[in-house]
Amino acid sequence: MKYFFALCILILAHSSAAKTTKRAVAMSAHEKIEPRLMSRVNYADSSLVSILNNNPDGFGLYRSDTKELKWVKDSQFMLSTQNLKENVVVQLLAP
Amino acid sequence: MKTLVRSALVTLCLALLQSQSYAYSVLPMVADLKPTGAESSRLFTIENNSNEKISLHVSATTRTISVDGKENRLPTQDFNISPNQLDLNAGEKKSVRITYVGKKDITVQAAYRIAFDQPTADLEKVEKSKSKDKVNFIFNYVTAVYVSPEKVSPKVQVVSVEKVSGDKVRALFENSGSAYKLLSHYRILISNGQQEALISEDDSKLVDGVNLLPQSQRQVLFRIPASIKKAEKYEIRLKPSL
Repeated sequence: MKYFFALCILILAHSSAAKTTKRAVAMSAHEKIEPRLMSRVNYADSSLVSILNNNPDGFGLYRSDTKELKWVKDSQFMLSTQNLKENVVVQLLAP
Repeated sequence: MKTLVRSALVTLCLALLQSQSYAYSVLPMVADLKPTGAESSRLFTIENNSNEKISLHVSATTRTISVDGKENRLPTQDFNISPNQLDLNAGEKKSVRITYVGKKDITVQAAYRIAFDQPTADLEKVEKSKSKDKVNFIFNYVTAVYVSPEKVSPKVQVVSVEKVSGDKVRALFENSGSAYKLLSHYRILISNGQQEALISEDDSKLVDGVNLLPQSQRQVLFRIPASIKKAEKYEIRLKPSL
């Protein structure tokens, strides 16, 4: 009986571990395809916005001040607020 | 030793500064839904890592792309968005459920955009509180959502190659299949019938982000690589790179 319970616990533990591993894999695959705006960093003499990208296909970056769409594939892209004459709306577009 | 400790402290401070000044993120940026059933719905997660409260408006549009690459979007009722307005306090994480309620009997993948926009009124708030260390950007996320029936696949081919000037060709690509494909997933080779070369590194940037939606065409202008001799006619070949 003791061994039977031990076996049950082992099976349950294995199934739970398998589920966790599966979820972890799915999450990492999920993360891979999605660009994320991660951080905003301020420096002493200028303000910089840092966009971290983890999508190999990159993402589109449209700025309302320049009216330009730029394709970004770098893992980190910086936007400077120095010399800005107006407030800027930035669109981050999935491919 | 003192220098080492000082640099370590500076690095730590910078790391802390970065972690405290996060903006917000939206996940996923690309989602694939089914026209019916459980997979016709998807949760999008928005995380506000900034130190300020943010407001967002969520909306859906159709998505078509013209032959010259211009994206056209029209408001659509094909999705239920719940909630379509939300406020997130500093450090808060919330989910938005997107459910497809459009035509069920589609045979070709349908492309949409789901946009997460900060109201432009937020810019005024930023402007008022603007100081030396404040940024004055607001961010809108424009995600790509595809509604795909069973067994869809892309079919991309080069329809025509036309010599435009001495050193340029205009290629017309077509996706006659039923699912989208990114042109950057191919290696593009230009041939004069005898020699063949990859398009230049600069020109390969032209195809970054070029999305060939199903049943659509797209034209792109390429420079003829210097490594192949000038000719009257050129051909373009696509080789899958992923």
